[in-house]
Amino acid sequence: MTEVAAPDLAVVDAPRRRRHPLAGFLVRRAAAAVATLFVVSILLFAGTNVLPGDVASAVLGRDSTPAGLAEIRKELHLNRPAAERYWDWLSGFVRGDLGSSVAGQAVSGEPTPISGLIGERAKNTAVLALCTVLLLVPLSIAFGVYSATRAGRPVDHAITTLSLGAISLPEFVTGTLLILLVAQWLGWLPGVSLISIGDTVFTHPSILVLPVLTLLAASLAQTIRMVRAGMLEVLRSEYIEWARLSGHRERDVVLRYALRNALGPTVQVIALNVQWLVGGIVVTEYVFGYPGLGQALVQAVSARDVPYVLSVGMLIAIVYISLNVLADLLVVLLVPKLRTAQ
Amino acid sequence: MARGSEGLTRRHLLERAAAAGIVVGSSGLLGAGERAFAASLATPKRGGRLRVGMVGGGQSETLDPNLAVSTIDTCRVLTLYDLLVHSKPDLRLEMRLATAFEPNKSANNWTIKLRKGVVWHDGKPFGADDVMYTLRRIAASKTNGALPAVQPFDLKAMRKVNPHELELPLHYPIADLAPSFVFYPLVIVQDGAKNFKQPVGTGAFMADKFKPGQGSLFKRNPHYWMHGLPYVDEVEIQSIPDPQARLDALVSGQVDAVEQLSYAQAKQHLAQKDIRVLVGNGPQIVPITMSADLKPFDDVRVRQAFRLIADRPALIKGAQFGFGQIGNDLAGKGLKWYASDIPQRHQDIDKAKFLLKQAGHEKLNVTLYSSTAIAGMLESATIFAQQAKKAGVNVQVNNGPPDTYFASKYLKWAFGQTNWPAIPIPNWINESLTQKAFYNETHWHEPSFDKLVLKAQGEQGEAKAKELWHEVQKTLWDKGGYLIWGFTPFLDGVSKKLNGVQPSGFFALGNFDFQHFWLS
Repeated sequence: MTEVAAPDLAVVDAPRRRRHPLAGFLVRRAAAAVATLFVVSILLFAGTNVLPGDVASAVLGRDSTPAGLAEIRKELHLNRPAAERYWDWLSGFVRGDLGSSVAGQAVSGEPTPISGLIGERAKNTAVLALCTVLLLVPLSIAFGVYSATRAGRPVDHAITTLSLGAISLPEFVTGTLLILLVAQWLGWLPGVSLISIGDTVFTHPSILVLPVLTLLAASLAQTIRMVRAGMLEVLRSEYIEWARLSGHRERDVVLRYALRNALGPTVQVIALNVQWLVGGIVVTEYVFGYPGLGQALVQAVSARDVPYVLSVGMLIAIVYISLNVLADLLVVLLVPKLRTAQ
Repeated sequence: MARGSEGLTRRHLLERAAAAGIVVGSSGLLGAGERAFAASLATPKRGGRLRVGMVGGGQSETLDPNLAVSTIDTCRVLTLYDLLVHSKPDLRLEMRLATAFEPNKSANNWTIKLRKGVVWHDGKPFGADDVMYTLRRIAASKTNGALPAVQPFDLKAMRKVNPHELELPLHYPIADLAPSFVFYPLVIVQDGAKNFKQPVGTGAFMADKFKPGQGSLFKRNPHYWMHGLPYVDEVEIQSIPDPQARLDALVSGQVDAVEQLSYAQAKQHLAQKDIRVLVGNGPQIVPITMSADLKPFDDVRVRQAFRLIADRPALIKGAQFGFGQIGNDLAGKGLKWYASDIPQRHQDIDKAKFLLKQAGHEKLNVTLYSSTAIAGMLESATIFAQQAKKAGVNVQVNNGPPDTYFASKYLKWAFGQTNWPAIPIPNWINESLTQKAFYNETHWHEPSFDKLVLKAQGEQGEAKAKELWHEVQKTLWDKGGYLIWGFTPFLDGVSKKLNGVQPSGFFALGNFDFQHFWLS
């Protein structure tokens, strides 16, 4: 048995050894991602089924009558078994069919493809997320490094206190405070991020300011603190001391030797925060009335538009998990030691 | 897509009814709109874009009057189309696409005269064919909220007399027909209209862009039949579901008008005076219901005792921040036939205790099904429960999920809550208190009562009708299952730059009469 198996193993093992180490890493991560998404899809479906009521009771609202509810449920095939509905939706989703909005169908009488409804909203959300990330990365590195190099001094304390304060407030509180202060008292910026029909988010970029600030307030604090912690650790290491003793300028010590080695954990933390943004955006968009995917998701939940919730939820999960894989990949690329580790 | 053969939507019924019958009969109808309004206006400024923030209904928003449900739908439908008769903010009726309703002697065959010179947004002339098509389309629909309004009409025998006149026979006499047409799902659509994605109306504004759940844009109709109206060039109607965001948008000047302020918001901004708060006092109610065939309310003394437990001024103060007026267990205060000579009922704990003791309920435990589905509902339930303790009644308030409050045990529970918008008394009674009532919330089954209602409805003599309606209401006041502790106003906010809008007890934002609005 062992005699037969041994050559087989060798045959299988040989190409694997020749394969780029990153490829194996990617394959493993991708498989894990697909498995995670499958679990997410089950959780999402279970979650939407646990909600009280359905699209029929939501559309009819206080106009509900037993006959009216029954009619809508019949029209929309809501009476089928849960497993069947789940399979229908999942098999469609895998093929790239996001399904049809049941709330839309309830009033128009014809299928309303979700793909046609979310394009512009997805773009708006992407713009909001991108603006936040573009500010988040440089700001967290700049403040984190600055704070680390002045550890224990008043500037460091101020940054720490402020970021701790910001991190303790949920987005809806930060958002509301910003609206009160900047929009209502000072009158500098619009308090609600409405986009007039026919306009795009770029027609009035000022509507982005407060939502971006709100998202930054909640995410920046954490990344600053992580960069600071990472930097402090590196700055205390022996090689940095050696670099200083060797007469390198402090500026070079910090930026050339310390920062690059502190970046590994930083990338992970920033990636975590970007992933968090995906969720934070849902709340922020609702507070500011910003017409993105998050706001649509909230509306869809209250309308019990199950296919819409499922498909948008899955899309968000895909973004989340892809970012995760991407961040891991980036760390592996940045830290050579990890590339060979199995 | 249908809402079921009986899927007449509740709010439709209410709103149609609300619209109908409000206050005056045909004799009191006014002339065309601009005349009546002209006096109340300064020199209106033309142009600009009117921006309105509404709660919105997500993907289920529509421009088809047969499917419109949410207030944003109502708002858009009334912007695009015209009614035959419209309710003014003061609840009086005004002729719109109709100019006269004339009955035969027995009031079972009516002639409707239509306005001449009205054109559709696509340039075609408006006439009797459009009205007949609309009425038949509604009757064929399973979802139009005005379905009950057209049921008395003999649509097979309906005929065109000439392009501006039609004859409408009824299955039974109705003494006053015009109020039946004030309900918004009865807006007149064009003969043959099927595509409501590019809707054609006769209204003051024409459809330009529409995205459900987000926003819509309407352009001024330059050929509108109300000469010189509307004032603004464009109307933008946006969905802003979050109540705080809606108010923020108004305060920071991003919209000119918003619907549905909360009581707290209205109170705060009435004091702050940074925006104009419109308080539309009308006959809207959020009553408590007791089912007359279920224990313990099958004993009339229990129903009477519960009505005596209610401290009405305290309920108004606590549940509605003092907004609105106290109720006397009768719907439709201020409307035609309201029995204002029936004495106001006040809290009387001793008498309540006495009645409960007689009924054998010295100690009584009941569950009141409540929810936050309607503003003031849970608050009034909680306050009532406190008041009931004094009479030895332990009221357990069950706070159910708002999304499904009217979908689960509504119409089944012994002790619950409901709401009715402004609705004329005959319609309210027909829809909630007769054998065939669609919403028999108090499980009121009395054949003799039905006969009395039928008689009152058919009575053409004004004095005799008044007497009959009084008798109907006295019965309800004595024995009914409704605990109508107060009336609920419409609360909207508008910018100080917005003119031509008046508080309306009929519907939000001056009943959406946007052609009269102008921006300074």
